[in-house]
Amino acid sequence: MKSINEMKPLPLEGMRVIDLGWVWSGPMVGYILADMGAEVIKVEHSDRLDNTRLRGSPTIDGKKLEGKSIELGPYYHNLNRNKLSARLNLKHSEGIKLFKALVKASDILIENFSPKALSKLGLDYNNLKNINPGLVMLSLSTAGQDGPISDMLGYAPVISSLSGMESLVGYEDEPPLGMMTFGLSDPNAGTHAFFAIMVALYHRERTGEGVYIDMSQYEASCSLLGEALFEYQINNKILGPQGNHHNKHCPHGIYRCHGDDKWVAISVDSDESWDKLREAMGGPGWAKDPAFQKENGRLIRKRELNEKIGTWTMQLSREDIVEKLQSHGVAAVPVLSMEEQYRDKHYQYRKIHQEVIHPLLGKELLFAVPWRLGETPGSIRKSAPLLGEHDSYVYETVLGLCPEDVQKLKEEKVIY
Amino acid sequence: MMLSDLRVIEYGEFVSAPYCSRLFADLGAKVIKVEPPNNGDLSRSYGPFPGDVPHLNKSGLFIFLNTGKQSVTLNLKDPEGGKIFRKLLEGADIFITNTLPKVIEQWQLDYLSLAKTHPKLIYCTITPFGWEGPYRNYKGFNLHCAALSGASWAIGSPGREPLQIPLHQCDFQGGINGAAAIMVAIMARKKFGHGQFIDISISDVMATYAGTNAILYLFYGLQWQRDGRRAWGSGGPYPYGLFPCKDGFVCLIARTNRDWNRLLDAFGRPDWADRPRYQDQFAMGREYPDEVDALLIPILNGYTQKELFHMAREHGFPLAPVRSVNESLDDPQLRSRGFFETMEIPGIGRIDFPRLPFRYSNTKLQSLRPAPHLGEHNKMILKEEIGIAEEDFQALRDQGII
Repeated sequence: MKSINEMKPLPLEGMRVIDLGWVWSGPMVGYILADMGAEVIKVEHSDRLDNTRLRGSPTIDGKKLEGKSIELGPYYHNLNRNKLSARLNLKHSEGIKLFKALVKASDILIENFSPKALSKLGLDYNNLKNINPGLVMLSLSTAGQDGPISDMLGYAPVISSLSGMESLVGYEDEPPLGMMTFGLSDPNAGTHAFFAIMVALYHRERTGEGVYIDMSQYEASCSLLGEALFEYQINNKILGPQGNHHNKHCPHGIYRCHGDDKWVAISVDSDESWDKLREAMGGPGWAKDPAFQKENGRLIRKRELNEKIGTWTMQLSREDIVEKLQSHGVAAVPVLSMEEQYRDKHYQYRKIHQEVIHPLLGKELLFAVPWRLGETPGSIRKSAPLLGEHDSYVYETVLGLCPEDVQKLKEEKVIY
Repeated sequence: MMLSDLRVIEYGEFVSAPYCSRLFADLGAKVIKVEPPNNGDLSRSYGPFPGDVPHLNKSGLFIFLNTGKQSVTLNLKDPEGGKIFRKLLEGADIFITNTLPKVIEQWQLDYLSLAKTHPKLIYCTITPFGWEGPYRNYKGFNLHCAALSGASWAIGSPGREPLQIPLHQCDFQGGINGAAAIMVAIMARKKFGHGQFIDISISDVMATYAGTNAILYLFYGLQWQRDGRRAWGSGGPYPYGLFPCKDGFVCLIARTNRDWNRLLDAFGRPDWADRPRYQDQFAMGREYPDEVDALLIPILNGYTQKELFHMAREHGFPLAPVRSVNESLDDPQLRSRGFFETMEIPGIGRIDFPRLPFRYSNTKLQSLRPAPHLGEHNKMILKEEIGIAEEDFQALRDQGII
């Protein structure tokens, strides 16, 4: 049965995308385009697979899955749903020819290889625009296509470390910890890149001109740190680990609740909100201290205040605290583990997780694009492709080769 | 400019909606920022201020988020203010707000109230928990979005309190996701002819990011948990984390065997390097990372951040210094790409602004224009563009509506 979203029109239907992306940020751009209706062809080669296929077989319900592990990775599946898969060897001259033919038949090309990898193959934008002047091409790299360190290698936390973002993560007055498990820099770059492509498409609609986009993941992290850059430039202050501090809100923190590893996030954003928190706590004597009435007074004695709040939260369940505080108009939510996130009523209501059937895994949950567009929301219509699943469609239907030639190219390991 | 034919109205405060509309201003769109009279957008009171002295037109966060916009003050609680606002929307393509649902419904400026009279309008709301759902009117901020998303759960040290994502980064993600969704709606409008409603929940955005990466943990016998300076269980293969060196920390992620061996080569292949125990990176991450640290850290402590970064590029393994934010200002990489643009701000001085993280081949960004003073464009927009007569303008001002 089709979901409601699947019955709505797809905004990017009719667009064709070649996706050379790998790991997280590049493929993310591709899947958003695909969810919005573009035909996205993921181009891979058996000797150089997207390395998210190489994480081994997953363990589901305590059992390690058997079978071809490159087809079984749920991480790969999430980032490549709705796409088609075609194999192609770009190290082969015939492969280059086929690739150029594909570019001619497409609207968008996405790549996040190291800078120069494509120009070494003669496939940089300056060459490709002669084949397809309307092409919108995205190169998403660690630090940009040029500059003294454009050769650096990096995964998300390496790049955000360079930007300074990781130095802000840690407990106050202690050395930094970083947010290693999370990897914010990848989806941040992916979303900015998707936006850049949409702007370029809009420009193309108006002018007919193609566009090349040179995007730096390093700059994408730096571009969100204006506040700290200001603080340094106007007051010579260097910000360190921020803990759960807020410059204005106090108390503002994450507090332990009754139970095992249960936490609640609470923030008081005004003096009125402080009064309401006091009321919700049942008006304890210590909170009557007039020094706490004003934001400044509370900020000065932040540590003491946090300890007192923590003593109160320890006695109650997380859910009771959230309900009590929100009904008083004080900002409070539970700190969810990932298992709890999957079950949370808010996310279930908003359907951020969506089920698809994968031919080898059966039912699996994917993360939908987290935007609710009323008329053209996009949808997940199909699980991630098996390697080379759409070789025939791409080479015979799109490029018009005859089956015999395709067979020959397979034997020659061009389509491989 | 790529978006110079678009007109955006923003009624936003603090970070999410203002960042969203600034992206449009950076690409040449005309952005009119509507602010409540008296104090305006909350971020005007946030700082940082020169010498820590508050001033509505000198807040660093406000300036950073609002360059290139025009400011109009309007009291939307007042029906008269609402009327003027609707007129303002007539010429607009996009409306962006992060006002809570119950408030904007009270003002009758929600999408349902506007759609009939403004069928081509793209209306984007960005709130902590979204327009629809059980928490729609919950109060929340950056802290709460990180907490509810499952991201905070894995930031911090084991046993200690989980940590937020610093400096409003969740709010920024709300902004960029809103902008991306708006561009989809712009393309859809070209095709289908009508505007639409966009509901962005910042918690959903963060939950999707965290959940996407959590797949690598939950399906591979690793916990999505706090593990201090490391990814839990190294997220698979070791090393993956922040490590001390002579003058600070570096971030080192040698995930593949190739990365790891290049690193060992760079350090002259210490005598333990080829023992099978230190070549099994999965076992190293899951079973004995402390033991590996005890071998690795003394070596790293012999080098500075700069030396290690140089070695990493020379030998080709992923490592970078954990810098302070201000160090990016001197980075030749960013300078050579023209990432910063300098603007003189009266009363503050010359400030280097980070610009957008991408370059287009055939067009430049809109060059920096100042952030508006509160109500700076009242006359120009309300009198000249909307056509409010002088005496009405004065009266509205006296009533506190403008």
